[in-house]
Amino acid sequence: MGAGPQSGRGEWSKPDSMTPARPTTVATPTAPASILHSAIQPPPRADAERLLMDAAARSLRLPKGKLAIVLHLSRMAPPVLRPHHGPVARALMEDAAQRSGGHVFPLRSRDLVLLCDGLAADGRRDTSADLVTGLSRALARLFEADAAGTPLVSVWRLDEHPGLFLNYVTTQQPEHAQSLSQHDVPDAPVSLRVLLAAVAEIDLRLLLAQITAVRLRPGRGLPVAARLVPLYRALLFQPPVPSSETAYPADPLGGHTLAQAQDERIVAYLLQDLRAGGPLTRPMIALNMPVHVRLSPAGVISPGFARFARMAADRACGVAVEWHVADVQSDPELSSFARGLLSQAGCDLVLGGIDHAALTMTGLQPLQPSLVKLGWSPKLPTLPPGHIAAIDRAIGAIGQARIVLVNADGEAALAWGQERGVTRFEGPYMDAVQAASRIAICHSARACSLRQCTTRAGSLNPILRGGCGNPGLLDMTPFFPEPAL
Amino acid sequence: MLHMDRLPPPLAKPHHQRLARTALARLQDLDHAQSFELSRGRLAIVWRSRTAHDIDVAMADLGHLLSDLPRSQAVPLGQLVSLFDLPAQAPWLLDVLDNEGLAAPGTVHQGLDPPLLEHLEQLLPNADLSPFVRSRPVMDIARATPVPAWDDRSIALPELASALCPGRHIDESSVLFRLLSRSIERYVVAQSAAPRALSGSHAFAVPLSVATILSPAFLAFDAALPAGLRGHVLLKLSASDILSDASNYLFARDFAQARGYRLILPAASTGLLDIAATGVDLIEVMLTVGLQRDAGMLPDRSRLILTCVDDGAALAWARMQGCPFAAGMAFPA
Repeated sequence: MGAGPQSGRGEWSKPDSMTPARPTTVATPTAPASILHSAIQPPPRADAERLLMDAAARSLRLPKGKLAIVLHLSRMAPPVLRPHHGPVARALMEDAAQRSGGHVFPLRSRDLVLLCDGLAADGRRDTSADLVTGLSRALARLFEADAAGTPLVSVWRLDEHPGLFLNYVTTQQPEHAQSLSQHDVPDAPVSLRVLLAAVAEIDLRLLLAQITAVRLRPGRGLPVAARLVPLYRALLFQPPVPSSETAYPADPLGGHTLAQAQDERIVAYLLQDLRAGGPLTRPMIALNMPVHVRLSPAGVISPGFARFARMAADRACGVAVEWHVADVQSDPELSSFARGLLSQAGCDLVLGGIDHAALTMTGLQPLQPSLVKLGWSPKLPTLPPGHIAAIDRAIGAIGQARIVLVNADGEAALAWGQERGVTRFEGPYMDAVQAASRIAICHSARACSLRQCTTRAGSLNPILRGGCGNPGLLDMTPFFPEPAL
Repeated sequence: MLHMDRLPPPLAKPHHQRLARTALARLQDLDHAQSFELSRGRLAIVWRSRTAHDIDVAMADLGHLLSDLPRSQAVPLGQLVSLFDLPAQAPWLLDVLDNEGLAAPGTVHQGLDPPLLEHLEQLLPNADLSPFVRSRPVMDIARATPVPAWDDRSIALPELASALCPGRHIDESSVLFRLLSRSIERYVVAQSAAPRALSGSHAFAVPLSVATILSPAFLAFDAALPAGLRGHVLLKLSASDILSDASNYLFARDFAQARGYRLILPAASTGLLDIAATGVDLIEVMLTVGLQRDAGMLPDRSRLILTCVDDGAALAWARMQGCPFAAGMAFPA
């Protein structure tokens, strides 16, 4: 069941009793195709809230021993709230319901309510209370990292807190609810083959973006804009999102496949940009700033990349290659070989695809990365103290000067980073600050909005960039010299 | 002429091909040297030389690359390289080029691509996977007499792929392979959720990805798990899967452990991963000569599953180290 690890196969050199005589390719169907799709939990009923109200009313007539446990998923929002959160939590609650003679009510607000009568299937009262206690602890632990300090679990004994429960049920009724979310049934998966084929037809420049990372130098009392020192420019591949209806992130593995499939095209683009003095490399050479490009380890081994690296060295264009840690892990041998090639070519290695959880579970030093890109998330400041301590230890082990906080989307990200000595940032907030500085000094900016300047600076599409009246400034990060002491 | 298409699969990865080309690179610096990229990854180099020294050195480098192969998979150097003394042997060279022509479809080193992946996924609902299920006992060796602790089950994916699409080489490190594995996992998990599918089953371990653990198929499997098996099913993870989405892994880990599953991580796959930080229950370690020489390399022994325990001496060593579980030829199926 599932694919076995390569490492275990060597011990099966002797035939065992399970070795087949000759495998068949197609045989009698053992499971209809529908079995793959029948495992989805039914969505909340349209009258879910009314059913809950009816059940609550019946329970409150004889509340003794009855319990209600509510998981307030409505207090979480995407992207912190992920597609699997609801189904997994509901599975736990359904199991507890079966064992305690209860019933789970999935509401359209995403909340889940377990109402049990306090009697276990075998008639013992205490077991049910233990079950509910165990369930509430399990749910609290599951959502500890994502809850952002928000209490997500409520447990009420109906004979002690009838009003609290009734108040909650009342606020869930349609006439009282602020808004009701659609049940998040995942979209049908888009064929990867179709997506890859579609992406292959699109002009790569429409799928690429560039972003300038900055270092925040000290400067108490100075505005952020006055403290920015440009660090590098990263080339990003931005795959098209298959569905615009859902706010959930696409399947990481699918996105990964899309990105890896572009290695060859991206290298070809880099070569062409370097030869032609294009918008990516020309400004970086002039500013003596490196270009960061995300490739897979296999992409580094390609002859095209070797040509690019040689040409970049000849033209004094600094290059760093970003690897996703999962790529490194999936083929350590190839990664080790590619690491050597990077060193020989004079290219730095940057490690990305690292969130706070991965940071605390990995030892990255053997790869000797020049930078480690840690993904910012709004939940970071509200993680439990133990999680934050682990993150701080990991940052200290790597070195604050080698951490770049990416996806920084606001002042909260800057504050969090600076609290732990991180001064390097990449993300939409830094883009906006840089754009604001450009507009402030640009003689052609009268009709330009902040969003326009940010978008144009981040694009490699000549049509999009063509709207700028001062392209020479578009690729700059206005830099203010440090005030003399 | 370097026949890259004749490299055996273990030596056909991108970096091996690069090494093979590098071995011949010195020839490209010789007098009147010209190189030609032919079909199927073949490389032809023509040069002028009065001595055989350079070609001897290049062959020695190439032979060094092939020395990594086990004896059973050894490939003669002559199978990998064709040498033509021109102009005397020009007709033979032309003959080779004429006969081999364009790249033949479905060569053994053509790998998994998106259309094939989609095709395999469509075949799954009607495929009987039972001939490809592999099982080996994992023994509790902490007792005086080893007793079976659980069955370690997996699908022999290369054999399955070979049966479904002959002539294709499946690179197990590729992202597409992981997608295929995940599709097969979900199909098998969904099958196991069918009524009575697991009745009479003993304790077992299965490899699953994080995404599968969080999928509706696994939730159905979990709901249908017989009470007697609760707490006796183990889930085997991979480090690269954990690192693909570490936050989801933590959620999946906590959920799985709350439902009584134990988690196994093969130590060989860890690399960058800090085993202790993952919070898994058991660690699978392959017994090697190097490990027996330096038992200090062993991680937390109380949580170890030692594999490749193939004889009485290995079993004795494993017990001496305090390993609680072992698998290998010392315990026939």
